[in-house]
Amino acid sequence: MSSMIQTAPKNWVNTACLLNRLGAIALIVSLVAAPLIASNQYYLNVLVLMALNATLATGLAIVVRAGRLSLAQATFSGIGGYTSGLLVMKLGMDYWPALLLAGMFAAVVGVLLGLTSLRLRGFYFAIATFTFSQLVIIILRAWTPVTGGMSGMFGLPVPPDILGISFLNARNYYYLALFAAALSVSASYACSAGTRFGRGLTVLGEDEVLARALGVPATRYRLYAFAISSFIGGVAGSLSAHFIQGISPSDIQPIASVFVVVMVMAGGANMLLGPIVGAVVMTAVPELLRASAQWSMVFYGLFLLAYVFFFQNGLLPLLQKAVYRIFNITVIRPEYSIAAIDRPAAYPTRRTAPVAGNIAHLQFGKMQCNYGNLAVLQEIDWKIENGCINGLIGPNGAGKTTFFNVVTGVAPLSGGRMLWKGEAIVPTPESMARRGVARTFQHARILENHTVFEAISLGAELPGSKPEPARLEWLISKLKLQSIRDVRSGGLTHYQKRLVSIGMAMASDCEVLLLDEPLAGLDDTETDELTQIILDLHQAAHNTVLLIEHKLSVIMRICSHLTVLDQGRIIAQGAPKAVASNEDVIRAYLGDE
Amino acid sequence: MQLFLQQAINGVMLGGMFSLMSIGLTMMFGIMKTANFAYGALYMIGGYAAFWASSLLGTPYWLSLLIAFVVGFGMGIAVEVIGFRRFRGNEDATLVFGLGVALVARGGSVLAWGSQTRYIPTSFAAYHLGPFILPSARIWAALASVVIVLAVYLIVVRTKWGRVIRAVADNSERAQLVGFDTSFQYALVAGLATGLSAVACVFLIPVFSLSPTVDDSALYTAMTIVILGGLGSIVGCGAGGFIIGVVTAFSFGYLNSTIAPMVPLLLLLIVLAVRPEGLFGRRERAV
Repeated sequence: MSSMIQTAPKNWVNTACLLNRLGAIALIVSLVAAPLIASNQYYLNVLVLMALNATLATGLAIVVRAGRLSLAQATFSGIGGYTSGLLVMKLGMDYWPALLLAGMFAAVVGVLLGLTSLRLRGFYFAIATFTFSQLVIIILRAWTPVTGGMSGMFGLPVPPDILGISFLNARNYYYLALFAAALSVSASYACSAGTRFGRGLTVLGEDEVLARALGVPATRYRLYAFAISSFIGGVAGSLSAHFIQGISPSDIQPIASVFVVVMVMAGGANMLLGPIVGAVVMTAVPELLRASAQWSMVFYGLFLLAYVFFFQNGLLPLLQKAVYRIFNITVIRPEYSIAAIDRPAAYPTRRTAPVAGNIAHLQFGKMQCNYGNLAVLQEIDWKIENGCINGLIGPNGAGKTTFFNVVTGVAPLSGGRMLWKGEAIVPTPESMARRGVARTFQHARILENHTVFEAISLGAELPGSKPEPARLEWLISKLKLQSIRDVRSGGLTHYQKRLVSIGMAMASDCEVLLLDEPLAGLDDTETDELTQIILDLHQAAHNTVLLIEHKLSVIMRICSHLTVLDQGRIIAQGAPKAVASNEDVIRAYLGDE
Repeated sequence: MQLFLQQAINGVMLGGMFSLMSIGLTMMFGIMKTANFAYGALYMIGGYAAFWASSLLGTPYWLSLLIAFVVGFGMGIAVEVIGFRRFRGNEDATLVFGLGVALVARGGSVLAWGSQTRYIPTSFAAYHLGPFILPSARIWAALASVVIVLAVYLIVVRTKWGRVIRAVADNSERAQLVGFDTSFQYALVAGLATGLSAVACVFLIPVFSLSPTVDDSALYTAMTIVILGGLGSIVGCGAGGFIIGVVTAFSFGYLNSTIAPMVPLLLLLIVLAVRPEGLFGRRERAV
């Protein structure tokens, strides 16, 4: 069966895509052609500065997208500049290996800073990087015999010729800087849409809890991102220091790092070329206006304010929107869809064989979870039945969600044992996702900036399954999401978001699926439909399902085993009918006589 | 021994001044959960308000203080109403808004008033107590700090209005449902916090002087103390200021002056790494 729903929007999407490409090409062509038009030495200097700023900003965007605002990018550039300067001046090293070492040393410092501070969030991380940048300045100032103290180093040599190309010529230097910017953009692409690592990093920036539940190792990925970003910073800084032929602590004042942040934000951190546009605008405008340092500062400040009030996505998306309007293109809305897929008949084969014999996927022995002195779960002894739907019910505050959180490593396993296929483990979110435990959240967590298809595909890819198209399309059709397959998840209804979150969890080859109140807040029709979907998916995948739910009629209908929690303890367990007539359960729900 | 005692005295006085410098930031953090990166700039403008009042209008010292407070109060309400209110809950936007205001204010103040260092003429002299020197400006600043920090603490903990703003801080939506005008309370707190920071700046002019660049050092010192003490904890603000003051005094007393500034920074980095909620802050629970 093939369902064709409107073909026109497809062309619209193509036009938008074409315009995006044309825009990118126009930007690249103008960057390459710029020094041919601007012949004057002053303009050439500005262009070099611009290209290096673009490199720096593109590097910083990698960390920003991963959800950390660093106020130390200029510091890493300074570290790069000082490193290559010292290597060349004091050790007589050739410039090109020194450039590489400058980047590497900046990356090492970045890793060290990252190890201590990346676990801090938002404002705390910003302050940690800010403090770090102050420390570096003090060290550079104090270590006069080596770094030249307050006045810094001067007389740094211009990089030696390559293939007869002299870098004494500012135009050639510009192309060198542009090459660095291009490499930086490639790295940025690899750290966003280009690789699995990059896609994981992007999801991490959007929703850390969800990313970890999908198997993204948050700390490690952020550390890589920070190292890459610092490397780029170091290289850009070295190129800049050897262009100006000098470097001093005043070049890397905190304000310089703030300026790089402005470039990233202004251009649009979430778009590949955004930081380039930001760097071009923020470098060119003050220079063209011949603004003094103070006026540039005011300009940067006003720009930041304009940004935060009027265009929080950055200049590039703003520009995109304007161009779309001129060409009369509407960005795709739910009613337009490009789905035209043959529905695959069966559930594609699984990655892993089912567990043999009597070993449960999950088993708990005297498991306990405490927050401080508060015992949220105690004495949980439970061997979860493989391959069937296990219900988990209990009054509010009984510890049901906390139980899921312990299983997925979000809440602490404070005592007792948790066995995975017979082996005692200490769960972490990412390790459980990779073992094949998928979960949904009580409040559906979805990826607002991704389309339904992309989100479900990420749900397969990030925990380590292959996103096979046939399988994903099967899932999408089972979830009845075909008509909104290419719609951004952010604009969906409550029920649709639920479906997407279940799709993301089921997209991987999960052996155990944890569903946290999937039916909450749905009306009767939706409840019936989703209940059937859960049953269908379960029958196709033969996985072990744990279901928290308050709608008891559904629980009684689809669960083959039922567990009741009350005040952190299991008070009844067994076949649903038997449990339902258990007196303890009735008391827990209805209270004492 | 004499150096040790002199540095101890200096440290305590410096600590008082640091606490004074950070009380406004502490209030905005604790009550409004707002990371105010414009703090240093507003602090600096508050100082200039007093300076111009005293040098152009010849106002007496106490009146200059009052003018600084009023100007600060107005600026605090303005940034809250124009910016912070709209970005509450969005940490990055809050940070960026603050940075934007700070850049405009810093650049603008150099353009408007020049970058030279200014003082308000006072009759402060130094007291000599045996072998120890006690510059009176510092003593006054430290005393003002004790009075102001204590007053803020008492207002927040003991008064009826304090209960209201603590309720708003705890859960502004609930507080609104119960019938408090949270926007008004937020504006009031922002005004008071910024007003106090302006007063702090005036008290500290004789010690740290006044120029457009004091915004950086004020923001930076205040952030250090607020993080060390625990975001938003008023007791932490007092204690954090005291600790940083003593540490700074001793490191300048005993270390090479080029390396000494590193010590408080390292202390902050260690606190961030080991106990990011600060000495008096409460740990947030994940998820």
